[in-house]
Amino acid sequence: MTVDIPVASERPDLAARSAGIWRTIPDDPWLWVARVLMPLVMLGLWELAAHFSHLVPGVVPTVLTLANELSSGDLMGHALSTGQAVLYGFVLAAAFSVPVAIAVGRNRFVYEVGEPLFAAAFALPRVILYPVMLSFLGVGLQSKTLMAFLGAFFPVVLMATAGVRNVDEVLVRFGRTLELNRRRMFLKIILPAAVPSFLSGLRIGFSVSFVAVVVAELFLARDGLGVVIQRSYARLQLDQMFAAVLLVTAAAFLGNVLLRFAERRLHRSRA
Amino acid sequence: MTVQRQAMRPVRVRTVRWLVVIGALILLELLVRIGVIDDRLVAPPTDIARSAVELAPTQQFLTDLVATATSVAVAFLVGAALGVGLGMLLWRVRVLGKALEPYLVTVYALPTMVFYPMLLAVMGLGRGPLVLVATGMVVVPVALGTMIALQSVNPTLFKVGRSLNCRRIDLFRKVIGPAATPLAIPGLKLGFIYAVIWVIAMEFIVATAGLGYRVGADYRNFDTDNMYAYILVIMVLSAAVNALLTGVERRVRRDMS
Repeated sequence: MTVDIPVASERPDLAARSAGIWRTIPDDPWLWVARVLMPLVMLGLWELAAHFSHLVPGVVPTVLTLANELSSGDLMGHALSTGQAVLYGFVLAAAFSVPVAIAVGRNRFVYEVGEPLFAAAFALPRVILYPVMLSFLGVGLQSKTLMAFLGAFFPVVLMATAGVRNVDEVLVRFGRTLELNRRRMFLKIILPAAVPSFLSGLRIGFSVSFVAVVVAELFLARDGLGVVIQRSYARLQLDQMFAAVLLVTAAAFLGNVLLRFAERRLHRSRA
Repeated sequence: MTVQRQAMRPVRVRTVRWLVVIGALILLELLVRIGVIDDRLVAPPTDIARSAVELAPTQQFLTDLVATATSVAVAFLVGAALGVGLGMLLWRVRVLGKALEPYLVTVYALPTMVFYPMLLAVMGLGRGPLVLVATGMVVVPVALGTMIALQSVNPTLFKVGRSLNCRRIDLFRKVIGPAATPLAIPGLKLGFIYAVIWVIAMEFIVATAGLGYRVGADYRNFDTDNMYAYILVIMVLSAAVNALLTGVERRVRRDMS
């Protein structure tokens, strides 16, 4: 039984469909409808809450307040301060995770010793360590960066280690047949195979570190989006507070989308 | 490249692990006692342990513990019930499952905490919004875990049930339930851990009672001794909860699959 597989040159209509933005539409149109509807449902629920409670501003007024604050107020400065801490902590976690993932991933003993410790550390609410950081490092960028680092550390190391551990044994044996030395084996075989998991971990790590910094700022910080939220709540400037919350939500969402896009891009160029 | 072929002897692994932990504690103790680490910043671990033990019978501690424990219990029980229900729904209605799954996963990145101001405005001050936020964070891993567990059930089992002319409810109770439960345990475990983490984290920021609140309050009052004692208690409790859940998970997996 022969199967006719259409070639791109013969079926340009199908080829166009599977390229570019059309790729985002899955085969089931109802799924696409549902995916677009979800954020609209969320916005609808928000408007409903605004309708019932005079303390909750509506969607449009919040967006307008946000635009106003960003252009004329000092909200941008706060946003950059938060962003700086997130970036530093996140990059540090990414850099730190590579040697850790290699050490733990390729050595069974280290993995068995470390894994329960790692899981136990994951179960701890990190925020309660923030006052300790404040005592040692003071109120400022260092403490926030450390919070971001700890936030990103767990997902990144987890995914990176999984990536290193789950390298296809066939590839490893292939490397051995080529008699690669340790360094080459690592650079040419193990690292490239572990990259997709690592990128996934980075994406999750970014979001978690972003939340960690904002939560720390809600407690105590010099500046940042969490400080804005905390301050406007204390002053009962609820429209400003909701505008800042919207900014935090949008920034985290956007970052996630961009990283997912980059992840998919890299996947396609390698596959 | 060495490949460890012999099985890791569990006793040896456990010994090394305990040595690592105890070694780190001894190191910290020495560093503080000698003066490398300023003892105004952190007390030596033995002193912290002592104040934690002295702390245990006090009224303040018991009030905080009860507040946190009840919040965690409510958040987990309600969240798990909703999560299992949602997971089953997402499994049965496949379009809903596929559509909602990426949004549910986003909650890990963007916690339900962002709804806190809205909940606060609607519900007012009190533990309500805190427990609701934590409940929301429990629902997501439980729902996703249940959905995946149901999807992972061996399809042969459904066919067997159908061939024996099972009623729908019997199929669920006798076939799918026992098959899916061990697979759903990791989701429930993660949900409980999230309940603990988020209740304590929310207490730290916004509450007026509870273990998390006490750490923040002690910092603000410069009561560092009490603060470290509470931090130690939280660390021990979360590690104990984690160990307990892992034990339960292992037991269920062994008994049921």
